[in-house]
Amino acid sequence: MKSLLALTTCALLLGSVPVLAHHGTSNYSTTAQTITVSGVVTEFVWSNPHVYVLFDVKDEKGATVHWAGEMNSPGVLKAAGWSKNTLKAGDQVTLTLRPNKAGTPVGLLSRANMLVNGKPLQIGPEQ
Amino acid sequence: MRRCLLLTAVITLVPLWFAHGQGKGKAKGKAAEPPPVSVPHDPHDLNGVWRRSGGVLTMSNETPPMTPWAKAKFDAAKPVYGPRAVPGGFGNDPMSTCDPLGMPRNIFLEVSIYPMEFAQMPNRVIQFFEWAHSYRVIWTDGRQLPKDPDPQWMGYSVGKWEGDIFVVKSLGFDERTWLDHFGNPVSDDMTFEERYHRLDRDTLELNMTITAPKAYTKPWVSEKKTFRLAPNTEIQELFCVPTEEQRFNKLVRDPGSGVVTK
Repeated sequence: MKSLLALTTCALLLGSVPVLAHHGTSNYSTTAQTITVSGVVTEFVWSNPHVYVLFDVKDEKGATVHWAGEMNSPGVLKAAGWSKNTLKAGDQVTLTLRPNKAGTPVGLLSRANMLVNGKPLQIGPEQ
Repeated sequence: MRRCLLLTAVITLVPLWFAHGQGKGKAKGKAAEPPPVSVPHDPHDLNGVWRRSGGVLTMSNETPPMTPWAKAKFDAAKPVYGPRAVPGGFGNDPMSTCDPLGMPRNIFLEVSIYPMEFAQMPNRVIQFFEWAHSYRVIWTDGRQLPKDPDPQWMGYSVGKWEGDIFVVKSLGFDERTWLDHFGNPVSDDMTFEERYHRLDRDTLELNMTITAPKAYTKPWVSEKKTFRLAPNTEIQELFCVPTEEQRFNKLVRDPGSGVVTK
């Protein structure tokens, strides 16, 4: 129980990292609420004006759930050190997202604490 | 738990440190610029990339009273920002389909994330906006504003110097634009005045006034907006691409709002 509390607190604290988006974030929960999911990237979409990640996650019954993680523009990501090659299909990822209020598998992706193929992805500052 | 707190502190504070540096026109990993007051500058030189610091995403928080025509437009607008925000898939912000933002909304968007750039020429000033890779022309060749022009997303603009203040007057706007992220309306009789004042090398102040009797019962005077010179920033190619936005809406925005599409 203690470890669960610590994990939850950690998630809440990490979720407080500021995220700005140009299209508004009214779909998503407050910055204090985040979830962490692990899966496999199916497509890293480097498009204008939004970059996003499509990835598959196994639910508790073993079924595949298609997730999407919204990011900012290529220009903003480029300024933070990202490129079209930062993620690729097949990467094993652990991602932190602000879930949406509708309860569907779409979230606002935080760049702050990502694991890619088991290693922390440390490229640039969150914006 | 201790490691979690340390990790959280690092993740939270490092971005703030970078963001603070960026506001001072500092590149990643480079030393800070010298204090702005000690550096000579030409107050009539607006060239360069500028980034806004702080402020609200509209003229001011004191929206003037609307006419019934404007109130109906305002009520029909479903923004995804601010106190009236709806989930993205249920909004009707023209931005969500890559329609041009127009003026003055482009100015407000520069505040939050994206920079702008001035390029002065002998007969005009070009103002580039990173959002949608767009620009406007401010004519400085002495021409007058057109009378009863056809509408344009950016309007028509002329500029002249009054002392050290660059005064831009614009009209001929398209009513399909929103004035800001919050759905405040634009009317085709709107005149828009901008007063740019470069206080020192790194600081550009902007005061704006909107006069639009069809929409607002009195002029809307902005709060003072402040831009900082961003000498190490390059305007990025940030198009709003309709086909890519459509795919984004289908895969991310709509399902993220609970909108079911087939």
